[in-house]
Order: sequence, then structure tokens, then C-alpha cells
Amino acid sequence: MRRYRANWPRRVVIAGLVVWSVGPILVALVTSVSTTAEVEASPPVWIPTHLSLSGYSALLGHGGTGTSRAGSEAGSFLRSMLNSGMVTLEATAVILILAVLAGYAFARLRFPGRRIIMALVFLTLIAPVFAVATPLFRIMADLRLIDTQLGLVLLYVSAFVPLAIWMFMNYCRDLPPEPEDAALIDGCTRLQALWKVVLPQMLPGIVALLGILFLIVWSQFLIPLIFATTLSTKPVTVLITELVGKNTVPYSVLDAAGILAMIPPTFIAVALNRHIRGMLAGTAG
Amino acid sequence: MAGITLEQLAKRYDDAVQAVFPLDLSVEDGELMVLIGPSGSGKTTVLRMIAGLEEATGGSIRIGGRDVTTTAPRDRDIAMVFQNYGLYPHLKVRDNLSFGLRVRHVERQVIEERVAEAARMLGIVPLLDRRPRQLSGGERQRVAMGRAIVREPAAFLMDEPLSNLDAKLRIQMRNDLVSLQRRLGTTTVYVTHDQIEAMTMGDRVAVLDHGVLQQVGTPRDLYDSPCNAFVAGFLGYPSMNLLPGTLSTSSGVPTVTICGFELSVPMDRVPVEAGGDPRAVVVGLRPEACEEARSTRLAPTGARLSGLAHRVETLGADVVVHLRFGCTSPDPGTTPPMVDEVGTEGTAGELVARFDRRTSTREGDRLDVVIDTDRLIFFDPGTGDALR
Ligand SMILES: Nc1ncnc2c1ncn2[C@@H]1O[C@H](COP(=O)(O)OP(=O)(O)O)[C@@H](O)[C@H]1O
Ligand SMILES: [Mg+2]
Repeated sequence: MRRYRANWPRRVVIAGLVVWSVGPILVALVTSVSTTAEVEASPPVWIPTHLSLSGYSALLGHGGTGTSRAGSEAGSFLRSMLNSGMVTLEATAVILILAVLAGYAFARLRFPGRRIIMALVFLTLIAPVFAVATPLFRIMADLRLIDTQLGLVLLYVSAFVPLAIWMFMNYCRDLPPEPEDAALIDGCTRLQALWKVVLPQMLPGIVALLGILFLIVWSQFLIPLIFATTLSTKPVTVLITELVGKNTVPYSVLDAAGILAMIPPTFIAVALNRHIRGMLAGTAG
Repeated sequence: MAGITLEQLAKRYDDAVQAVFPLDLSVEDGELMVLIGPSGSGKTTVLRMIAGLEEATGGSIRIGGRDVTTTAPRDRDIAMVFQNYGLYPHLKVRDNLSFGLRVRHVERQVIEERVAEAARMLGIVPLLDRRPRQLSGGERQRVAMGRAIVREPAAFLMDEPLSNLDAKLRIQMRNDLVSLQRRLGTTTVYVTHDQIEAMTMGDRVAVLDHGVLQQVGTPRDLYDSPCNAFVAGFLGYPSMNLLPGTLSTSSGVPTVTICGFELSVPMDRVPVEAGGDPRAVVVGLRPEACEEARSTRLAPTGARLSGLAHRVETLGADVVVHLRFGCTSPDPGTTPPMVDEVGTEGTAGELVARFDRRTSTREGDRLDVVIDTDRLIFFDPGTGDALR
């Protein structure tokens, strides 16, 4: 009985946190299926009386009924989702490969210059993106990489590879080295041991890093705001801000876009939840 | 046939740590050689050099007569068992066992036979379809052993394989391991820091300290005639008493004086090596060579010490009594530092004795102890070497 009561403060805190983090998403979800009239009503209508999918159809292009801007938005929204997906997958893959190789090497191998290279890589962790954005813009412009997928991927790779290496290096340090040694004794060459034992051993970490990188890259805003200027590369994060009209704020469309943009990262987060938590908590395996 | 010979084998790590000083060691075919030493003494380094996981920076390694100093681990025909087992976490027990054979493209039928045989021998048949994380420590240890056995290698290398197990299981596994090794007759190098394991398991024992090989011999040799005070203090529990004393041979009957007590020393115990007379020595005395005066079968010669029992510990079969003489060291300034270094139970002015459990000694009693002077050993206070 006493333990039950002692739990109350804890429950209140947890409830507060849940409302704090889930509340806005719920509001967005509700708004996205409301009619414009109800959203803008005063006093506000919290529970919509009519379900309206006009926000979604405006974005997905099934001949929207409520909004006049439906035609143009449908194409651009889908395009931006596609842009986001492509660039995120490409950048995640490249960063993942580099981080796994370098993280393993830094953690396990002894090679000349190891410390200096490590120091250089991790020094770049200190420099924030906005500090280097201007010089980068000029270089990118010279190389004609502005508003290209390749340019964005390169930017993301250079921005997040050090962090990813650092995370994966720490992960590798926590993994016991004995299975690899055992494999070498059992008859494997170095490459065979890496392939047959070390890689499977690292798999949970690789999956976790994949998830984390996907979430980070998908939600990038500042870099694409500067470097992805047209719809040929513009990701959904940047596009959403442009849905706001000059005089009107189409809340239902805006929130529908937000909800749709959340689907891929939510899917990743839910699917890889266990692995990601393990890695962020710093426990191997 | 598959002995292991180390010649001047040495290891210096990059950051100039000389982990192993040049050492010579020869393990006979079929022998179980225990490598023992305190933590950081270089045991693992030696074993990993034999395995080929660590490159030797000096000397050579021969396994079964073949020089393997620069051979890759997979071509040395050895198997290793690690302290934390080192099982492949993503493979079932069955596949952990067969991994080494599959990599070597052994015929499937042979693999199945050997895995079944090893699993039966180790009693892990019911575990074959589990993964390592679903096993207890003892079970993992058995699987690790099985993985070594199925390969039928020329030698086993084991690095503290039992030290992660609880005390009871450790003793059981110790026995299982010895009988398995006897049955297979496979040359084995077994690393441990546990002197009981060393004494009970080893055909011979090699003692390592600070990367220097101290002594190699049968457990009995090492126990009865340690080559220096370190070996003397390291093997045996409770540790050998190492007390500062003065040895005098000039006045007819040789005597040694410890803390004011004069003991006569049998002629054959007196070192023949040259030295001053009288000379300062460290007197080595096993706790079980000290008996209670009132119940001893030893002749009550002039080998008697008396003091205050300030601590009495019951071990079950015996009783360990810490005896304090009413004095400190005769000349504290000259107490050799090495007496403390070897981590003996006693300090100057204290003697640890091991009595039969029937003793009536209580803490606070004054009592007389008779020394079995046939078991006296003398060490040089400067170098710690045994005087012979
Ligand atoms: N990879 C390494 N790099 C540098 N020094 C090491 C390395 N491995 C061990 N050492 C050092 O070598 C010495 C012997 O270590 P080790 O062989 O592990 O001893 P033991 O197994 O007897 O505890 C220690 O001083 C240890 O710090
Ligand atoms: Mg060790």
C-alpha cells in the first residue's frame, strides 16, 4: 500500500513527460483530419465533428475538395518526400560503411598515425554546421554541387561521419575481442574472421547506427535550406515551411504534411527501438 | 611429439612496456604446464605469443618441433580457451563447436561425429541448439572446452579458464579438466593466478613475476625448494613465513636467531654458499612446519618460539594462528624490503602457524611453538634468492 502511494510523484512526472512529447503530435493528428472551419473556429473545437481528409488529399493529389492549392502541392509534396527518402538512404548508407570500417579500425587495430588521425576526425565534431556553411557554399558552388543529390549526400557525410565513427568506435571497444581471436585460431584468415565472426558480432550495433543516422539525416533542415534550393532536391522538412501561404495558414494541410513526414522515421524508430536504445545507452549487444 | 619449446621468448609492447623478458621454457608432449604469476606478470602475453595472436619481439617458439614463431595462428595447430569464453555469440552451441572444422573444410560426417563425441564427453548434448547468451557460466566454459577438443589440436592453451566461475563450480571444473586432459593426452599450457589450481593441476608449474620466469618445476619442487622468496611466498596458503634473522655457524652448532629466539639448524640445512658469519638472512618457514609445543611429535629441541596468539582463523580442517612475538624486528632499519613485497601473511615479529583443528588455542593465549627445523629455508635478504 505504501509503495503504491510512493509511486504517485513518479507517475505525475511520467504523465507530464508523455503529454509534453505526445501532445503536439496528437494535436497535429487531430488538426490534420479537421476542416479548416473547425480549426479556425473560436473557441477552438478540440474534437472535430466532421472527419475531413482534405489536408491529406491536397498533399497526395486525389483531387482535393477543400483547398484551392491542391494541384500544385500534391506533386511537390510527393517529390520532396521522395527527395528526403533518397538522400537519407544514400547518406545513411555511405556514413554507415565509413563509420563501421573506421570505428572498428580505431577501436581494434594498432597502426601508425592512429592517434593523430583520430584526433583530427574528432576535432571536426566541434565545428558547428552554421560556422562552415558560408565557405562551404562557395566551394559547393564552384564544384556545381548546389542543389544536387550528390552535393547533399557529401555534406551529410562530412557532417555526420565523425559522430558516427565516434559512436561506433565506442561500441566496438565494448565488444569482447575474444571471438575474433578465437576465429583466427580456429582457422580463419583475418578477412574471414571479420566476415564470419566480427561482422555478425557487430550486427546489433550496425543496425542501431543505421537507425540513428536515418533519424538524424531525415530531420535535417539547415543544410538543405541552404543547399537544396529547388524541388529537384528539396526535402520534406524544408518544403513544409513553404506550405504556409502569404495570407493564410492552411493548418490541416500543414499538419497532414507533418504527420506524413513523420511516418518513415517513426517506422524506423519503432522497428529498431531496442537496438537504438542499446547503443545510445552505451551498452554493447 | 607435440611439445612446446620457447627459447629466449620476449615481448615488448609499443609503448615500451617490457611485458616478458627473454624466457626459456619447454613443455613436454602431453604435459600440463601451469603458468602462474600475479596479475600483470605477463602470463597472458606469453600464451598469446604461443597462439600467434601477439607477435614475439624476440626469441622463438616451436610446437611439435616446428618453428612457428612467425606462423599465423590458424597454422599453429593449437586451440585456445579464454577467460571470458570467447564463444561466437551469433552461433548456436553446435555451430560454435563445429566452426573450426567447417572453416577447414572437414567432411561433414566427421564434423558431426566429433561434435557429438565432444558434446557427450562434456555433458552438453542438451545445449547444442542454444545460443551462448542462453547458457550459464559453467555451461559456456564447457562449450569453450568443446570447441577446443573437436579440433584435435596439438596443444591446448588456456587463459584463466575457470576464474569467472564460482568457487564450487571452479573446483568441479578443475577436476573435470584435469581428467579430460589426461584422457586426451594433449599438451596443455594453463595460465592461472590461483596457486591452488597451479598446485593441484600442473604436472609442472612455471612461476612468472614482472615478466621474468622465476622457476619451473613440479608443484612439490616449488613448494619444498622455492628458488627465491617470491616463489616461496606465492605458493601455498597461508603463505610461507619470511622472517628476518641472523645465521651463525661459527660456534659449533649452527643457529639462527629470529627476534631474539635462537633455533638450532640441522647441518644439511645450512647453506654452503659463501657468506659472512654471522650473516643476515631471511628465514622461510611454512606455517605447517610450526607446531604447538604441547601437542607436537617433534623433538622439543632448541627450536622453540613463543608469542601471543592475536588472531585465530578456523579454516575447517585446520586452524591458522597468527602469533606475535614480543618484539619487532631486531634492527628495523635493515629489514629487507622484499619481505613485504612478496605479500606474506606475516610481518616482522609475526609468525603464521597452521595447527590441527583440535587445538585449544584461543585469541589472546600465550603459547609455545616448535619449529620443524628440517624445513627451514634461507634467503638472501638483498636478492631474495634461496641460499643453498
Ligand atoms: N596490448 C597491450 N599493450 C600494451 N601493454 C600491454 C598490452 N597487453 C598487456 N600489456 C602489459 O603487459 C604486462 C603483462 O600483461 P599480461 O600479459 O596481460 O599479464 P597477466 O596475464 O599476467 O595478468 C602488463 O604490464 C600489461 O599492462
Ligand atoms: Mg592475463
